[in-house]
Amino acid sequence: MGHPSITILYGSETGNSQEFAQVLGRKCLYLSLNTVVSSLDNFDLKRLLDVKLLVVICSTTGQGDIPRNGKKFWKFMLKKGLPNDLLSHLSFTTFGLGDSSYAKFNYAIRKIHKRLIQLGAHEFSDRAESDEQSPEGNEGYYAEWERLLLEKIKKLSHHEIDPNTLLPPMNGIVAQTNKFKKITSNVKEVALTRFELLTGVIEVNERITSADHFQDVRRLVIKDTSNSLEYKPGDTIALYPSNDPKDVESLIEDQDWQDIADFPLIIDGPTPTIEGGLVKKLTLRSLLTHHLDIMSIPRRSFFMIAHHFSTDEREREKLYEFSLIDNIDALYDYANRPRRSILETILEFHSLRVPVQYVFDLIPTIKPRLFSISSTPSPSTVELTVAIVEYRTIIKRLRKGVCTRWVKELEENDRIKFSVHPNNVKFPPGPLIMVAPGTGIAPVKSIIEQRLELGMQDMYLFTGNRFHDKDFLYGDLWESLASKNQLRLFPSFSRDEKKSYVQDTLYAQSDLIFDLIYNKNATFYLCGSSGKMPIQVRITIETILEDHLGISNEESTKFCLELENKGRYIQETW
Amino acid sequence: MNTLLLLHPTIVTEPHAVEAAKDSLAQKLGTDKSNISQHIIDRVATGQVSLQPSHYNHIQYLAPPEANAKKLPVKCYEIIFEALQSNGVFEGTIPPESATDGILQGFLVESDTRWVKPSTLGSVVSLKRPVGQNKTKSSAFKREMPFFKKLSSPPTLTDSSEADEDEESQLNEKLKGSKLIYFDESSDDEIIDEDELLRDDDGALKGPVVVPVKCALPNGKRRKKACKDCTCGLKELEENEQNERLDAQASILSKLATSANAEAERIEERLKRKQASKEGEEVKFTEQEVTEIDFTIQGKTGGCGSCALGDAFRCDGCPYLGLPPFKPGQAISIEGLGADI
Repeated sequence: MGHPSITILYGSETGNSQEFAQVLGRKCLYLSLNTVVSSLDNFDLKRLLDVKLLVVICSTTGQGDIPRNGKKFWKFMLKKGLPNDLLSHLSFTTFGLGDSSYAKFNYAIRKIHKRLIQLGAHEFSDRAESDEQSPEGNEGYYAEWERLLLEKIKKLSHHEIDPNTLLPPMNGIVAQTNKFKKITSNVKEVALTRFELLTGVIEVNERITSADHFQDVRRLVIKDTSNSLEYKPGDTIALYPSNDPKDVESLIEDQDWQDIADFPLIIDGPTPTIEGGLVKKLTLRSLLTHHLDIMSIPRRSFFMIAHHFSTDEREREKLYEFSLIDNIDALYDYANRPRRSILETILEFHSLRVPVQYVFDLIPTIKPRLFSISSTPSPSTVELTVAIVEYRTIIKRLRKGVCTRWVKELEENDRIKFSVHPNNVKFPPGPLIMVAPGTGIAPVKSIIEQRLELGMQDMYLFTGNRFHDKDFLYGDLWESLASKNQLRLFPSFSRDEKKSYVQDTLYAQSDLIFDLIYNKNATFYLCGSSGKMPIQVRITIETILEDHLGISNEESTKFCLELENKGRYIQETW
Repeated sequence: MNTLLLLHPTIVTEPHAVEAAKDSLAQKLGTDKSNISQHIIDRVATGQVSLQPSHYNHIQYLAPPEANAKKLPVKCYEIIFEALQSNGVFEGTIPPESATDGILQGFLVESDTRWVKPSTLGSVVSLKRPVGQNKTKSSAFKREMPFFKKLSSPPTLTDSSEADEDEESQLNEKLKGSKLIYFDESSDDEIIDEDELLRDDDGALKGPVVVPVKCALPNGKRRKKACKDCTCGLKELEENEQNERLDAQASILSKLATSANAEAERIEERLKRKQASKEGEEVKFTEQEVTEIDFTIQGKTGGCGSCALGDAFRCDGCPYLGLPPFKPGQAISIEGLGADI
């Protein structure tokens, strides 16, 4: 009799859902289940007819949408003609990754769950909607959900495999040392061989915060020589960063991979999905440089594999401990809090020797980074506003974001790969209230410029920055437009003499805001970082409605939800 | 010679496999390919196609290897039995462990993949029919069987009230074939409004939702992470802690810078003491000397023995936190920390 099988599909934007899917998949393998782990879109949908046990792990993006790597799957699921018994052979459960600061909290997984039931599938273990804003984080929800799920799966399992057993790699690689060596020294050239993507030329890469300000924010202009760009306000550009060759070299040296690093590489078995495709003439070095995220924080799935490869008893024990959900706190202190990278972790565990065929299993792939477009639609150029991420933790060495380090080093006339991602934000006609603290200004700048071109002027901009003279992004532009009455500007500066935040300024303009929303059919567009800001802005709007209408909080909440459903309260936070 | 090829629904998508099977069947039976008729087995099983009784000399069943692991419903064997002439043969990818079903039906099971309809029924030992069927008649049970009972309507997938587990899964297996059409990528179907999915909740999402153990991690501890935009003071606490650690590091690094000098003095001191002491007398270091940061003493690994191993092993509050591990007896090289210090 064959082993029971399970299919685990994930919809992931930043890799969190994928991580959970891989952790669960590994546990299922150790319960000797035939396990398939795949992104929603990479799974051949016909195979759903053979699936008995299905797990869907999915985050929510945009306006309650399914992530990029689940769009194809979702388009199929939404077909009207599907019969209500299509999936009646299938038992499933779902896990959603969400953030309750978004109004459309966990909408993607709710929609998927609902649709699976509509198509006849049966829920066999309780579902979960995790909340990153909760003190337990997504992990806390996952732990409990996984516990319930594994209890049920264990009943199907014929036998459990000893956790000390090393399973064969899922995506093994082999360096062909019998072939000729390849020269991959020109990192930028190699990066350009990803033919699935657009090629652009860096036209401008300038700092737009003052030199004495702590944060470096860049205005990056990319030129498309083919003149074929198509985008709308609200759309995003994906950049495909590469690692610092010095970091890659230190890993290669530490792992004694010098002798194989520059030979052609073949992937043994299924090629993992890599957004934007692999670089051509793959070698271990180019794989580590362009595709494997050695600067990301190691997660539990890393330690689930890594502990097999340490020869030192003490180190092996420690690595294993970090793989356990009960020790998530210790892992948090070791890795997440100080933002320790996989590279640093491998270097620190000196007895850790990774067999090269396991690197794909061990190290997650570099995900493209998405940035809101800050220019008005143009076929030839696109402008981004990128905050360079650099900070210190207890680790002596400066922390740098992989993508922003790469952006910082881009020079004029460098060629890069990128792609355009439509976001389908629709701006109804009528007045537009825009709240855009920090780099939230990017998509707002795009819509303002477009509206000016179209001769629409009913715009109200609430900016939020620290200092007028240091980081008031595009401040000159806003002030000049305001002086020409093409825009009404309400800036907030949190560190200048008269301290204020966007929500304070909004409340100070209570009468105006109320009139615009309630009487003038205005649209409210909120952009910026996720977290407390969007919640506080929403509370402010609700309070304004309550003050003016004398309604209860329940009623004002309902009013805002209706605005949102009509597409007149748009939140774009990251 | 009347020959019938019964096809599993999924094999239909592989026309070359069907043709190959027909060719080899025609060759084996010494008949012409055109004499072989074919049906999809689920259409036969559901009564959408009826087979002429006692008509076929040979019925061949063809299923892909992945599909034949599951048994066919008993009903299928009944129909096949009826459609065969005496001494007619049923062959092919008969699911394993189906022999009992075949015997119950009256077949002579010559092998797992070759069943024969016997000519003289009287010579076949009759096995009891399952409860609920006519079992009052004699051994000539052929007559007891419902003779081409047509189903009033094809069974629906959800109607499994009468089917046992095997039949149910078998039914699914067969209906799978008919469902394949929905996965046709070329069809440009209408799409439902996804926002409608959540607008009126008819209960699909009302079921239990897993919640984490309240404010606690699996080990019962509260998570120590400060929220983004923390207002409760945890963030400041974390920042203070971080600053303390950075100060500790700074002090270690400055000690390292002066350590070459200090080391030289210490050696001199030790030599002096050694000279002063009588031969054989043990040289004792002061407490301060022992705790002095000195990576060059062989075997020294720090107070708790873990400092040298790296952050993963260091105690809370260890002055080395945030610095790379060092091997016992090896000095930390400042270059090793990278250029970003």
